[in-house]
Amino acid sequence: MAAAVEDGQFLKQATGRNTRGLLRVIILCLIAGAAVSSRLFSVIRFESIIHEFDPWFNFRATKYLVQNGFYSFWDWFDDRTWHPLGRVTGGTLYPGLMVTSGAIYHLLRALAMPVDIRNICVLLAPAFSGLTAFATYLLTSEMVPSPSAGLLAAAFMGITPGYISRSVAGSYDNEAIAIFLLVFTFFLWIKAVKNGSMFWGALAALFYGYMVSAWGGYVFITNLLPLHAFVLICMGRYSPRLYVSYTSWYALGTLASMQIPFVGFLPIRSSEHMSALGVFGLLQLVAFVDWVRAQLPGKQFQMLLRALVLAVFVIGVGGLVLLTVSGVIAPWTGRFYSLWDTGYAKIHIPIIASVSEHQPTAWPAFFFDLSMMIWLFPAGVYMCFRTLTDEQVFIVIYAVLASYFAGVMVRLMLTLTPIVCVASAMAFSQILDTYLDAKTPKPATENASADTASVAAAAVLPDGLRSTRNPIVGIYSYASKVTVVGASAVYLLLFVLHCTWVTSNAYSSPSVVLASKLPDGSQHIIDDYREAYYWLRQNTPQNAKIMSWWDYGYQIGGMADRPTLVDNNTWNNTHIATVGKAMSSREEVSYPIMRQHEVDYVLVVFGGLLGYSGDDINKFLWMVRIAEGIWPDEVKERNFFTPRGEYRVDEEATPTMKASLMYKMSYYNYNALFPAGQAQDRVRGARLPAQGPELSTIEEAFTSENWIIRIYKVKDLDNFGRDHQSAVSFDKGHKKKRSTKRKGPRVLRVE
Amino acid sequence: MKKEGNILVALSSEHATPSAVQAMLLELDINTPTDKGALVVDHFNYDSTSASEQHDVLLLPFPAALRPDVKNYFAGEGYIAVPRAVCQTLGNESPLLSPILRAPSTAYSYNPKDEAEGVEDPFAVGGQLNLVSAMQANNAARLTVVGSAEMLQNKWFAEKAKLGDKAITTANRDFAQKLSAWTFKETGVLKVGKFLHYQDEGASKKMNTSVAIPENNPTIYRIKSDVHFQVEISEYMNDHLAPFVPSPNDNIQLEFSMLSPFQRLNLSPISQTANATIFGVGFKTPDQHGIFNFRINYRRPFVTNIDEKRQVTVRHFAHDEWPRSWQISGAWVWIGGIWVTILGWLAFVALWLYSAPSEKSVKKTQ
Amino acid sequence: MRVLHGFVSSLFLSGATIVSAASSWSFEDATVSVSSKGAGVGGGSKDKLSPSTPLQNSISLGATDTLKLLLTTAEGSTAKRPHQAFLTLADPTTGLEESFVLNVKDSGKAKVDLSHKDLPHQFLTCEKPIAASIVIASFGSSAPYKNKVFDLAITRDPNVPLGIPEPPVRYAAETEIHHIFREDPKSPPKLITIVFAAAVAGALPVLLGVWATLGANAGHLSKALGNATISHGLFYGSILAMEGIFFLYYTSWNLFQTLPAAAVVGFVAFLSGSRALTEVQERRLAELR
Repeated sequence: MAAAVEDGQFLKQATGRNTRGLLRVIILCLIAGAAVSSRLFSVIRFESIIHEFDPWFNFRATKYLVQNGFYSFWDWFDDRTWHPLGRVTGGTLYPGLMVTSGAIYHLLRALAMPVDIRNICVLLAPAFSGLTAFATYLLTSEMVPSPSAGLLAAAFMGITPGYISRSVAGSYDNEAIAIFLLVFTFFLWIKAVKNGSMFWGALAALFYGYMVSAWGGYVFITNLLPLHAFVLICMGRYSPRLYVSYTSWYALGTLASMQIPFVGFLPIRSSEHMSALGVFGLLQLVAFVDWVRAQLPGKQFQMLLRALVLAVFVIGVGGLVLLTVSGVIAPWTGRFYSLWDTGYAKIHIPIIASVSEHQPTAWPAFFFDLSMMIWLFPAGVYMCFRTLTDEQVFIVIYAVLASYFAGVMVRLMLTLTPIVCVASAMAFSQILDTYLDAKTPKPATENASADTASVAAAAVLPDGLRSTRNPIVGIYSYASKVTVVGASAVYLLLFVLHCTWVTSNAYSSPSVVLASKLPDGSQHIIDDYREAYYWLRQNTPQNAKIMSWWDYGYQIGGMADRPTLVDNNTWNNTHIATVGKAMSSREEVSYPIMRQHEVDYVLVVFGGLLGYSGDDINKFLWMVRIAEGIWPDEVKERNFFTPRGEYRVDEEATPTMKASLMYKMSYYNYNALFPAGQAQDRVRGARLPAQGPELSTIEEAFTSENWIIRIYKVKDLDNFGRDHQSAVSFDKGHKKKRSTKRKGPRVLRVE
Repeated sequence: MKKEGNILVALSSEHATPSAVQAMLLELDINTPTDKGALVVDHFNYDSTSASEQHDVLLLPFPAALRPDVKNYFAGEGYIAVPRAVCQTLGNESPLLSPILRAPSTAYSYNPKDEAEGVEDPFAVGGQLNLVSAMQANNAARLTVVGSAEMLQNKWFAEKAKLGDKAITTANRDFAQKLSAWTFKETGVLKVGKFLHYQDEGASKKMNTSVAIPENNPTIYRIKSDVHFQVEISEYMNDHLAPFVPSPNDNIQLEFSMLSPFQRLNLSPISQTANATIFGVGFKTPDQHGIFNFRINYRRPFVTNIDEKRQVTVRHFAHDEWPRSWQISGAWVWIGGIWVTILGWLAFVALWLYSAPSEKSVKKTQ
Repeated sequence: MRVLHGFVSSLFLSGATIVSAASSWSFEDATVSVSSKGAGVGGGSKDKLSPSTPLQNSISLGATDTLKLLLTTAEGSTAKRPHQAFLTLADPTTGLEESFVLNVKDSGKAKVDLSHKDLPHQFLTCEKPIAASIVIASFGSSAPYKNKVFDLAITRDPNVPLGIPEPPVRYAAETEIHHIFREDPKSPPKLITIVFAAAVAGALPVLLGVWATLGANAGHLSKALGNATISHGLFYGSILAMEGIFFLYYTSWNLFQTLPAAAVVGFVAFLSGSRALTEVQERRLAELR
């Protein structure tokens, strides 16, 4: 594909305007095609299946939307999750994704192309990635006059692993459409700021509204656009254009965002949105001052006005703080705090910290996801500093903020990716534009043709920094041209290779189906999840309640179609802690909890046999921590560590650990697979006690082929009113001991 | 051990109780004396014809109701002779156990071999000592322990006996018949007929809801809606189903629960059919959405358990079920604001389009 | 279970019918004493009991006290050891009974010690005094004896918690529960609302008035209509229609009725608007505005 872009570069010089336009369209189509096709690895390697966890919920919600229509989706009360609380799903989700695929579904039907809703959902993300590439082209073209930068950016965006990680076929998540909307909203905003146009501002608001309906990450836009405006004001670049575009965006966009039930009154009630409101107020003030200054030219007036602006600003901030303290404005949410202090979540909100997506990013991840762009990106940002038009200020701000966020949270790498593509494409196209110029620069033609080239060369040559001298610069030697262009081409090829490799190997696994390599190199599919979910589907009553850790809630809901206690929409911490408590307590404690919640089956994930490390014993400490947050007296994390502070499952595991339901369920009967005393946990590399745990209140119902999923049935109350322990021991032939010696008073029976 | 089967265990002081039976009874929290030959005597209520010396044939009236709110299935006239009984004591914890025939307060159990001279450590005394006791398991399987096998023998069915100096005829036949009828589920068996709940449309007139609701037993309700509930309960009486009438101090209760009951209401009999009583109650669903259960958990001693659950969903207000804004007086200010804005906008557009310049025209910056 | 008490009295008569029943069981020389730990020998109370009449005052038994009952059982008038010699405590409210065996010697001397730790927990929490009766009976035809002899009041230290087990589950009707509903949100008083609504509504005439004083007029209406009749009519009409659509959406329409209508009207407004606004611009360029 990079070759295609280079073709465009060559031809651009020679052909006419229309041909170039047509070429650009063709190139964009090719880029979109490449973007889509590289995301189909997962379908080819595995099958057309929904991936991971959240997509299963989105898929289920989409099915509900398609079956029941928009309004019952809007008012959807889901009685099959969060049993027995239920979830007001229609009011607590971002409906943009489902509505989009629902609309596509109905559109295709109207066009007499009935397509299965599942295929629409699977292929939605790749389709939108094509659009994202197009939007990136538009955004970049707004930044620099050279269209080659736009095409390069589009190509980068199309295949960069940072974006592919969330948009392979089957990854039917909010981000699938949200990144397109993010980039496109930014494009419209830039357009609006450049033109000072109410029309573009309104369009930006419209797409902002769409974005709000699609992804919680809209807050990024909500803060970035005001920040851009604020920085422009501080730089003294206030203009009526800014006023018009910002106010039209803010007023319409806020109204649009409030239409989403999940967002509701947040835009005027929560701290995250206050910067947008504040900048809106500030702009009114600045506009007013501007107008007054135009009327009254006088130095002391200007001083007075400046003081006025400052005073109002201080009062505004003070009022905001006051309102936050008094509780009118919701304070920052925990997720937001964890953006500033990476340790915050771990201490205060374990439920957020327990998600791997919310962990700070490891450094290699940047190179893995962005490859060569990671070093082109600063060059692009630097170039923006050199000219620093309004829109380039935007790039700089975006780059700084997104870099920080991507460093704090793995999943925010996604917001960084577009700007990295844009900035590095700008840098790269400068190089190419400079060195691919076949003509030797002449002073006469400089202004006409090599305008951009001079700028680019200035970036490369230190002399160019003193642009006031306006020297005649350019590349004279063909040798250097060939070297640089050749090196660039190699880099581009390497980039393509890297992207393809990463996509096909790292990001295409559906995680519902695991793949492993057999010794002979052939692929072996481990399908325990689906095996277990279909077992549930076919062998349990329609209303059997399944208790599992929340990670699997969406999958059980989507694949097994059974009600769950908790799922990945972690809206009720107490309920999750209840499950955590049930899992981490003794059976006698867990059983009443499970009875109260009408649990019929308990599902655990156990990787000990296969060496699958993402299992429940490894997540167990999070369950303990979350439960401890609610019941600090009954569940104590300390009790799960040995005196030496180790987390062990073998002979030396603590009694609390060994008595916990999770431990028992994981290792129940596991000994039977091995010769006596040889039971081995392959994840934790531990040898298990010779005597396996015993269960009395639940009984094993199903264990999948590789023991990844184990399902237990909760027993009914004992028929004779005994507790289960004694019932089990009686069935084993132990008679109840009669207390021979009577101590103390008799126990009298009262009726 | 038991799948809905019913057992009648008769013990006798003449034979040692097999230890397997003892262990089984112990598992159910019914204690029997371990020593062979232990029997119950009462020096106050004995049959002076057959046991003038040994005092081990007890003459007892028919048992009264266990509690004022429990139906008595063993009421009768006359006296029951309980010869040479092995007593049982019941553990205090289990609600499944209930005594049928208890010894009088002066009775006690002793072992004639060891304690011929005087009783020193009786196994149990007085009312704690059961001559006939019953256990009804959670699945309504019944187990009756009769302390004296002899009392069920023909010999005692209508025997002449003397209580003190009063000559009486024992009524063991009647008691044995009632006992076996109860044990083998001919009496005290409840049956639930139609289970009905529906929304009361009259009180809360639904607005244009987009969810169609079936007439009876809908699976979904809305919060704060009026619901009516009815259940038919009949009782099996020896050979036919009859309308069930709970004991006067007792109530059948409906729980509307999610995790814990939000409503627990006494059901009142509405009407009777030929063989069932219809109980019903009306209430308002709580202002908490979730998955609720209509639950009738009627467990009483001597009658079979009713534990019927119907799961229903109670949903939140749909977007079009809230009161409209003009019905809320507090919103009038805002509605007024909207109208003013609309009219002002229309006027502004007209002015913008059609206003002729006056001497000093309104200059709008665009 | 307590129906049998009535029989007790009649049993006294029964002795006459039996040949050897010249005598009936009873007791003599009965004393009941309560001594508390640490109170010394003379501490506590001591009462004599009579077989026929119960004590007037109830005997109180404190937490550390020990009750000691001494008596001599007798058949007729001869001291003799009976088979059954019980001290029976009966809770008057619940009717619960428990008997304590008297340790009887062959001579008929009997004694029993009683303290809190011997009593079932149901008695310890008893509010009313517990009726204590003595039962003396044996085989043969002698009339058995049972009579209430004293009341036992259990006093205990309220500061010392009792290890009382949870009351066991018994199947019975439970108390009713009625859900308590949250209060509905309230509107402010209507008068205040109306005043404010009037103020808001009053802003419109004020606005129009200000415009009028600034020289607003519709003087170019005919001119505008003359220049571009259709587009001006359509444009203003479509703006009105859009407001009408909003109103219908507010009152009765759903989204899917609103969106197509709004799209059509918006399209008309766009087309006619560009024409109409061009006309307005022409007037401005012509210095007519």
